[in-house]
Amino acid sequence: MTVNAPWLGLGKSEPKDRSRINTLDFLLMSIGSALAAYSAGMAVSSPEVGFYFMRLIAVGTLFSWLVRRFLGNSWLVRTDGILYTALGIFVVSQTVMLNEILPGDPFPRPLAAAAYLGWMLALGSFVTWRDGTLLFQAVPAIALFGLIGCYDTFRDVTFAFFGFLLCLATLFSRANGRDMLRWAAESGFLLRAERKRGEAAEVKRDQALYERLRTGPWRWVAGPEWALASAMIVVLLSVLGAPVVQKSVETVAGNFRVQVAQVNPGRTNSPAAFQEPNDVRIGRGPNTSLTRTPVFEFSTQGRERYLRTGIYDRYAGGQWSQAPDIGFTAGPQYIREPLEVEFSIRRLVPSPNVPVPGDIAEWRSPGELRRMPEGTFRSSDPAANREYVGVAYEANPQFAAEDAVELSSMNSMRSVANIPPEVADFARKAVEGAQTDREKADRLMQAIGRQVKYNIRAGATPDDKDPVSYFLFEQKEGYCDVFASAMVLMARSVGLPARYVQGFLPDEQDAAGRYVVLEKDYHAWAEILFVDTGWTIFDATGLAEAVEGGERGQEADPRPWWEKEPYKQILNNGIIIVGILAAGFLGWSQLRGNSVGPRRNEFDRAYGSFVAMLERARGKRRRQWETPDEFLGSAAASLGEGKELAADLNRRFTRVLYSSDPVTEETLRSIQTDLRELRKKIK
Amino acid sequence: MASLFLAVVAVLIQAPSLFYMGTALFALIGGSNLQAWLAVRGLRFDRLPVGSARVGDLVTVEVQVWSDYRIRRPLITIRDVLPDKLLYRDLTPSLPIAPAYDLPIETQYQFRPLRRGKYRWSKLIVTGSDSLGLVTKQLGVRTEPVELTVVPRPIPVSLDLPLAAGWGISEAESGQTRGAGIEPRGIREYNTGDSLRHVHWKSSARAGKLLVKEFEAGTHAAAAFLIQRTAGSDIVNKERSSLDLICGHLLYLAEVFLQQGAKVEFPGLSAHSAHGSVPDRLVEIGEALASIEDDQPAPVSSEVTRILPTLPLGSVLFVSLTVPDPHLAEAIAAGQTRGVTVVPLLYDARTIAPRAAASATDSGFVESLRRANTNPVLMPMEVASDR
Repeated sequence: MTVNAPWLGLGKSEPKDRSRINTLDFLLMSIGSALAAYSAGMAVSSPEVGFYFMRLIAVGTLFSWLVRRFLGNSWLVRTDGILYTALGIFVVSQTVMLNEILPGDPFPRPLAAAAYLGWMLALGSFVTWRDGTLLFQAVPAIALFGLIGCYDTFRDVTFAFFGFLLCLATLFSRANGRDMLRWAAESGFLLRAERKRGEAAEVKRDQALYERLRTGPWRWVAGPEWALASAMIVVLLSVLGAPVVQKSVETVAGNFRVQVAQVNPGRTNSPAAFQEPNDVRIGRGPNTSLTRTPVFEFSTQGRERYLRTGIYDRYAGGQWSQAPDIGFTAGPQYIREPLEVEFSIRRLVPSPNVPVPGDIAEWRSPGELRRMPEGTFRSSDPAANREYVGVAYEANPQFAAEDAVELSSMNSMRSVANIPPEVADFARKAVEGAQTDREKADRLMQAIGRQVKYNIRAGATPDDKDPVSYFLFEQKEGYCDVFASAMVLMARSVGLPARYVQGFLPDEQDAAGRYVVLEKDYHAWAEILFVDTGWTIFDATGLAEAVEGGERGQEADPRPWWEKEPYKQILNNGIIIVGILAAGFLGWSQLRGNSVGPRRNEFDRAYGSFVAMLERARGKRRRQWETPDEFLGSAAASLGEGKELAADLNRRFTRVLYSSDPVTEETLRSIQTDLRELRKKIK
Repeated sequence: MASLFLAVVAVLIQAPSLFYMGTALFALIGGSNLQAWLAVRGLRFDRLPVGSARVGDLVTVEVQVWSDYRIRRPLITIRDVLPDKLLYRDLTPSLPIAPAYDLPIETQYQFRPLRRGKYRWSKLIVTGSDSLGLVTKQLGVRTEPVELTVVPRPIPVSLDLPLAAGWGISEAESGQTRGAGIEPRGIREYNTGDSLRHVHWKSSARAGKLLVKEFEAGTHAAAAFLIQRTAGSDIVNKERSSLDLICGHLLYLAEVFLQQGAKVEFPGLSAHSAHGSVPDRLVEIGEALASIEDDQPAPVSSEVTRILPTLPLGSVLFVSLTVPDPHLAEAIAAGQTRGVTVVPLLYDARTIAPRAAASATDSGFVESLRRANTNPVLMPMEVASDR
């Protein structure tokens, strides 16, 4: 296949100006940056963020290309470093604002640096006008890859990084070549060469210089093709070697393993796939994948089906979080004569969570689980098909919940901070006349059930409104998170200690009686702390009428098609493969462009054969310091009939070797023919 | 740094993708180091002669490089370790080359020497990088020494010549009115500063531009130049040197006199080759001037005493000094009885080094020379920047 795209800087064309960055360099860096930015988006499961950055990078690259093309090397172009620095400062100071601009969900707090780096890549591409700034783009890109790698939420980042590496290697090599070309020009080589050849000084210097170097002192260079080949070997070595390295350092690293703050990889992921975050926002519309995908298997000897993965006590601005003293009320100490029931839970998908049906008495499976302060558990090995067997405390059915536990008013479970007044009023009205705490809790649940409808497709709460208040009095429909939040806030308003809990509520059982926990079983509920029964579940969703088509248990996958499997995987791999192929293609084109050509290579081989023939005839290797003529002279006595032909060949070889004249097809063929002839004569 | 950081973080948090990325970056940097290390190994260097050049001329140094290994290499550059005494400017990088097995590949670099002298060096530093240009490695190499002679650049100076046998009429001058001897030799185009008395009006009218008559010096004209080389007489400050200035002036005067047909001698420096052409003689003088230093134990007065008897009658002996020699007047007085005119060319040491203890232009010394019946010339200390 012959590539002929001079506008791209590829293939056969008029001699190119190789002293400046050209289209190929812009393409390489935009592909590399785009791979980094796309990976950043995918790390938070937000392809639209990745695409947004990619679009910006494409526009920025086009802009830079136009600037370079039309402004050449003017003073304005030389300000690119200053502009890049200014942009860096601007992005640092405005990271929060810029993060909010991003479509979909912005980067979460632990990944705020990714927002900075992503924006740096995107905005930086507008001012990459010279080698310095163009290559500097590699810095935010590598940092971004490193950050994504730390959080390990996008496994394909490795392949994206390899694609980036190929682009980077080719780009660096080309930039190095430009530096060398500049040095060659400064060394006075061309001027002297012109003087020697009596050529006019008006020759286009850069082009002429490059052509002369390529066929002269740079003929044997390990150039961009070596850079690309090195990068490919590096990629291969990494693919093969990284697991070995990881395994070999595991024993050492195991002693001081550092936990990285977990990142919720996005609103559209499977609820099983990510670790429950420290902060949970509610009322954000259909934002969780609720499909029939099985995520856990659960079997129990008891009655409890509510499986907890996250517990929260502090409410502010539509968000639940965990107060430092959240562990104060964790544990079975409030349950009177608790039952100990055995249960088992098996993960069907990779997940750091281990949902539990209550406070845990003991684990009977290998102890790699970590207990969180509020009583939930995390696994350090999130692989699928891990099964855990444990014993949980369950409330004794002999005792009913009647009175709430009297907690200190300072306890976060009783905090009435940030409860909207209208919600508190609504709660107080609802419990008027109730005699016991249990009755109060029931009335609150009923009031919620009467006030609102359940709708799994309910829209998001506007940013300027409290989700609970909006849910109860304006939208009047919602799903589990706002139901549970309303219940907790209202309970606290009337003095009951309550907490917000997330987890799974499975319905379906298999033939063996095991519950199959599906994605769509992801749920939230309220728990109120009662004397004798401990934390008691109040799920108001059961009492509310459901909007048609919005019932609980409906499959709800709000993701666009490109985020659903298998399209997501195909797209991911496709983009990375296209990136790698593009980088490879550009590198290959570069290689072709720099090659001295097959004829020259054949010529070199022919000369090698000639030298070997003379060495055999002479019985000694050629000395380093021997010129071709001296070498021939010392071998002449051993050449017999071939002496004259060898002298002729030597003359023709020397003419080509020591000049920049191209090797013609005719010259090459005649040399090869004469070489065969010489071989016969020497024999 | 990036690869190290990634590797450390990968070990600490054991994220698989970080291991892949860290390994890749490490391998890349490691490979680059290896390639750069190999790039500067197994090379041989043959220097081509440099020859001589004038101060300020562009000198090209060429080196042939051979590879001992049959490998492809990234581009390498060289940097000569030039002698400390060699002042230069406009040093270019060397031509990057890819050394080849079996074939010499030539590299070069250029610079402009700023001080006359004979310089010799042999050490060079070869710098190689990987094909990405990420890592550079350097290696010092000792080669066959190369020698460069930097001859002074003639510095034009206007000088009133004394009346003397063979030098003709009083308008015999040098400098911009050079060529004003007694016997007409031809005509040339008018230059600023030429005397209007020498304009050849007929030729000028025909040519439509001013032409002046050029004169041949008398056949007996002879000039000898003596330079004060007593230890400590070269006053140096940064790039300025009184000896360099003297050499530049004397080379110019020698060129002028030679072109006028006069005999020019530099007693004690270079033998006069009787059959040489003017350019050859100038090369001889230039090379002689290139190597002089203020390393003589004897004062210039003793040189004058020694040389004066050897000069032909009617010669002019120019003696250039920067620091006063108390016995010079005495030596000159003795020599003038032999019919040789001595012209002291005096340089102000304090113009170069304001704290110089004494200067040849000190009034007492000048007065003593005048008393010895000489007409000392105070030489200009500024050099027109024409490079």
